[in-house]
Amino acid sequence: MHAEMAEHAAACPECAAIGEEERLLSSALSALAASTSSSEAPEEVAQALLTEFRAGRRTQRNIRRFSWTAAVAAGIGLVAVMGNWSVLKPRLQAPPAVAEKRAGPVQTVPVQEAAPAPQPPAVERGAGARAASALTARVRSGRGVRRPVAPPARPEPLREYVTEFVPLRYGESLRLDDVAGVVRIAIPRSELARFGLPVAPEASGRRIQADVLLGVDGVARAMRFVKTETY
Amino acid sequence: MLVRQMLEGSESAFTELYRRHQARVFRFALHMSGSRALAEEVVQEVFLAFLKDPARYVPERGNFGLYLLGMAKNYVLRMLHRTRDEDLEQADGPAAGDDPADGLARRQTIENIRKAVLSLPPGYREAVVLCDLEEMDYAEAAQVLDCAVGTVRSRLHRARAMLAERIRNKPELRDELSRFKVMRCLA
Repeated sequence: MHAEMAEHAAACPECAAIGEEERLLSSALSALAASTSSSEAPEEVAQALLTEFRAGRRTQRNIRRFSWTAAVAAGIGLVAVMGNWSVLKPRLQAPPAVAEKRAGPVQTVPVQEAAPAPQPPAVERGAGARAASALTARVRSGRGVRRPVAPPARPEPLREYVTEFVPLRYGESLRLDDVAGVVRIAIPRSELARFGLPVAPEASGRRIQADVLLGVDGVARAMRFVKTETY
Repeated sequence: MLVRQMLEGSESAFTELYRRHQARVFRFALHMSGSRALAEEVVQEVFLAFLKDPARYVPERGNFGLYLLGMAKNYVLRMLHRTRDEDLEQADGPAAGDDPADGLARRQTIENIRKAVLSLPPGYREAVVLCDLEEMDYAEAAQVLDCAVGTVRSRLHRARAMLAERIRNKPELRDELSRFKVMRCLA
């Protein structure tokens, strides 16, 4: 093919000119390519990317560590709620009127309204704090409080199991001198998800009993779940 | 293989990947923009984007180097839109004078052809940069540009025609290139 083109170019000045232009252009582009053949990004770019790579690796390790911790915590919570209730005892000694309950009218311990209770410090409001506020609001509005009713015409429960009280605010420890009372409420099982506990979809609509520990300022401090067994 | 090792956290794999591919990405961005600063930025952005979302690279779709160049193309075009065309021709070019053996005339010729390439519309410039300057074949260039092989061929043909016309319209450039060709023959 080259031979044919060369032969034609020898006889055709116009094509010879085009061919010459192409050769010049190719030669020039080759020279341009050769002049930059050793060009590369400076070392600072490599260092910046390496820093980014290492930071990303650290984040991945922290995510894996957090996932394990969360999984273990969820597992413990699952055992606490769904496992052997009789094994778990309240860490905090609740008032005797609440510690051992039998079915019947729910005794609502009066909550002392704290006059201008100091606002809690502005701390990170995690799920626990939000749950605490929601519960406080529910108790105050009476939605979560079971109204006294006539005893149902059914056999009395023989046993009641309670879990430990779980603080509703992360990092907050419970103090006996801060307890105003305990209120028993019935909440949908779906609320358990707020505490990172699994909820079976078919059971999410049913209600579960819970005791809410109220502080002297009327704010919910802790909660425990209650299971009663009847015959 | 190296990509998989890098995803598993191997720093040496990442370093090797960077070492193998950064120069080509840099040169592509340099030829497209005429600016070393922009080319450095493109290299950084491309590798950062890969680090942030490595799952987007699918080995079955093609070679890793071409994948990076595809990303570089998008970054360069985005950055070029922010830069005026006239700034491109005035921007610092490749270090053609690095080689002490380069004569002034040769450097001037190379600079003129560099400006001629920069004067091409971006779509045609890409074809020349990938095929003529980076010596890729049509299939590789098509993968980078995400278009058909036929499109690459026609864009390259049109781009070279534009460059040839520019040479034709600037006799001094043609003379330089003729002398340049002679010098190369004698070298």
